Amino acid sequence: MGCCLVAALVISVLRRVRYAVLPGQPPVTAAFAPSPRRPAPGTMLVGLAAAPPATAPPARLVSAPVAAGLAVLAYVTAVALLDAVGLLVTGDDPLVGWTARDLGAAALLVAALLAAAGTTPRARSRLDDVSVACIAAGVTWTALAIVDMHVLGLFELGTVGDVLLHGSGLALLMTGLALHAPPKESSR
Amino acid sequence: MTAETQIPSDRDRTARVLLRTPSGPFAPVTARRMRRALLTYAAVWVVAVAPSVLGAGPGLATGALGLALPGGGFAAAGHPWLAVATVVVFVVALVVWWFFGATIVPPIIWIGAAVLAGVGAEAVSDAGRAVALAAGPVLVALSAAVHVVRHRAQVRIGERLNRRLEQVDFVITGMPDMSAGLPVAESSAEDLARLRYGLDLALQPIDRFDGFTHLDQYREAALRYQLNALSYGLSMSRFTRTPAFSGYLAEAQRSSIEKMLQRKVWGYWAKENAWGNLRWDPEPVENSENIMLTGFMGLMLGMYETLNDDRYAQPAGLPFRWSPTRTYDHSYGSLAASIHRNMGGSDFTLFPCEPNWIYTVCNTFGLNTLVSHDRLHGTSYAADVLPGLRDGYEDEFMRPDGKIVGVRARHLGLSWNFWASPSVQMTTTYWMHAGLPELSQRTWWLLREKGLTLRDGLLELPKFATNGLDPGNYLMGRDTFGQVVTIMAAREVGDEEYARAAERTLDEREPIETSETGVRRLKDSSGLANHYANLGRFGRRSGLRDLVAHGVPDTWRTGPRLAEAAYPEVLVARAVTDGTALDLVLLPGAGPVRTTLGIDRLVPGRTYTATGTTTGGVTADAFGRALVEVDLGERLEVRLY
Repeated sequence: MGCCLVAALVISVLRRVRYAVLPGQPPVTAAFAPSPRRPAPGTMLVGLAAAPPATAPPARLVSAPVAAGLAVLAYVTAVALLDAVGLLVTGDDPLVGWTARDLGAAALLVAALLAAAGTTPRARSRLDDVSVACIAAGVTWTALAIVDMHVLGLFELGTVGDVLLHGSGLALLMTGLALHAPPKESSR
Repeated sequence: MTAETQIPSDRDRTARVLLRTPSGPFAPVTARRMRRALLTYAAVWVVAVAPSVLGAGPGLATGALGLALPGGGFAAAGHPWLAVATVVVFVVALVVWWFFGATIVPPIIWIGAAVLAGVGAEAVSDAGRAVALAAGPVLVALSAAVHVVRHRAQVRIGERLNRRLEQVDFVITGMPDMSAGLPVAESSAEDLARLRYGLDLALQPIDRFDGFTHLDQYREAALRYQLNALSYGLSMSRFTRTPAFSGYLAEAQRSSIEKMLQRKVWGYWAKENAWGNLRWDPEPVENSENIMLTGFMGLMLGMYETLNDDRYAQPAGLPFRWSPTRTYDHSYGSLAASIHRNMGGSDFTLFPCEPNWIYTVCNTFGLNTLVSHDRLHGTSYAADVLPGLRDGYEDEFMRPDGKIVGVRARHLGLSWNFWASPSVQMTTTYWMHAGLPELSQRTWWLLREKGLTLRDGLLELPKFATNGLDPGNYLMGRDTFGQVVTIMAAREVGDEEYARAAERTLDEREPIETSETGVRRLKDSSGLANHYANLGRFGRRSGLRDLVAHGVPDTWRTGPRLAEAAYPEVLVARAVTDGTALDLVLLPGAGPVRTTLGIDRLVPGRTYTATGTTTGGVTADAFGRALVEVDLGERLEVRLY
């Protein structure tokens, strides 16, 4: 069962991320089965109770910090890939700026992870889960792109690339806002 | 290396089982696979270095260097962080490959990173090129050196152990005296409350899985493993407590088998076959792998047929329905034939579960399937493969210090060291005992020598992190599963002291959850752990070995039996026949009740005396059936004779 040590870690992390970010029912844990009945020979079951309906598991919270942390990772990876394939035009003195930026991104990631660990689960609707994830990820992505390009001036992209990079974050943000369901008003 | 001594006065025999002296640091088949893999890597390495030597441009040169090492292209292109990221992603890809048999994932990451690096490269860094070219060979050389050093230490340990093993006579139990019957114990109220946990899960409609753990269908928490363990526990309880009771217990046995035929249980194979072998073929049996289905299910079938009937051995007795228009019809025989064929066609004799990955534990289930099939249907499958299987276990999948290696990559020959953990040893000890009892006994002896500790009557497991894992839900922190498999293994090999110590440890420590209807389970453990806990609870010395290898007395197959009883009103604590009479011990499961019991396999027309019933006597009908009425308010003994 040694492989399961690693399996347990990886699978549990993946499960957390999957149900924090994407829609879907969280897994059902083991429990008692509905109590079955079998009649005595030559008799019919009387008053056989229907199996109780399966209790819907509580919706898993969306952890905004988890979504933000994933956005940091995705953004940094995307920029690194763009740089690797030669689509970035970097500044004249990149070392200090990039180092500061990398440290900042790492700090943001650590902060997101710490915040995720300290978040108290709160039941939400599935739609809310997705919207919160989109909003958190969109804000993070957009902020990182603005800081990189327009505060630190680390790199430039062509017009199309500029629009795509900023637009990706904004699109996520707008999607999240559009999905966000307002609280139901009282009928009173 | 086994020296045997027959004991004429007994059906058992003794055996001295020494560890084999390895022929070299790598076992023969493993060494061949590793040489082939190394040669392949050497060829790739030459291809990787060629563009640099021939003065190709930076794109081609870095792309090619990416073939020498995952991320090597990025390193050569001057992107060290991307190189490190690629290595990290590649390691994750290896884990994915290992977990789900997704063979295609690591090459996609490796080659994809090389292509990306080549596309964006503007220059080649000398330092990066050196890293890309040197890291792979250095890693291989270091790994080999570490292995050789550890292997030598293990050889020395093995030699010391052999000097002690020369003095140890292992008792291998033989065919029981069937004419005297097999031991049948009486279940306690607690035993029955725990058994009800499995019964309730099994007795729901075939397509319902309420109460099961639903995490994934690939690894240890998959539904199929829960059904396997559920079925084994039910069968063992039948074998050691109520062989003369079919009724709802036999129905539950059938249900656990027929749930295995649900596509949601076995359909994982279509995906694993696609991403592991690049073949789209959902056929779950007629392939060269997937012993995690054929072996585990085959044993369920063997146990069922031993205790009941041969319905699943009939042609198309096991219809695996993929779609309304496509069904893969199989039977107990076709599963056993598949295992026999695949073992015969494998250099290791052991063959894979997930694509490429050979697990020693899985193959013990395959062997158990063959042993039981041979006994029930007169084939010689187990005899055909046993020599190769023994060599495979002893040479290819065992360290010189006697520890079983849990997993090995079929094509690469690689293994993971932590798969030699005590949990693997204990699990294998149990499941090997039917077909390879000498290895099982020796493995248990080694565990006692070097790991298990009794303190104040309680069992302490070795300080392995993996012993704190519940594979049925992937949660860590409790060693309940390790204690459970210790109970199973210790009881099976006859070491009741350790079995009781593990039971006491669980009783004192683990909270029990009780349902409104009186069903009980280990509260903080998975369904899988609970089912195996039942298997251990209902086990006995050589219980598995007898059930798989020796079967049941003829009188159990022909004598009177309790065929129908109300559930959960009537709980059957003991049911046994000598071929003529029927002895029952019943407990109420839902309060005092007057109820009817259905008895079958009586002599048609014969009048039986019945004690413990309200009627006192009963005459069997033309089909050998009769009904008797009982007042069940507390423990009740019923006898028909």
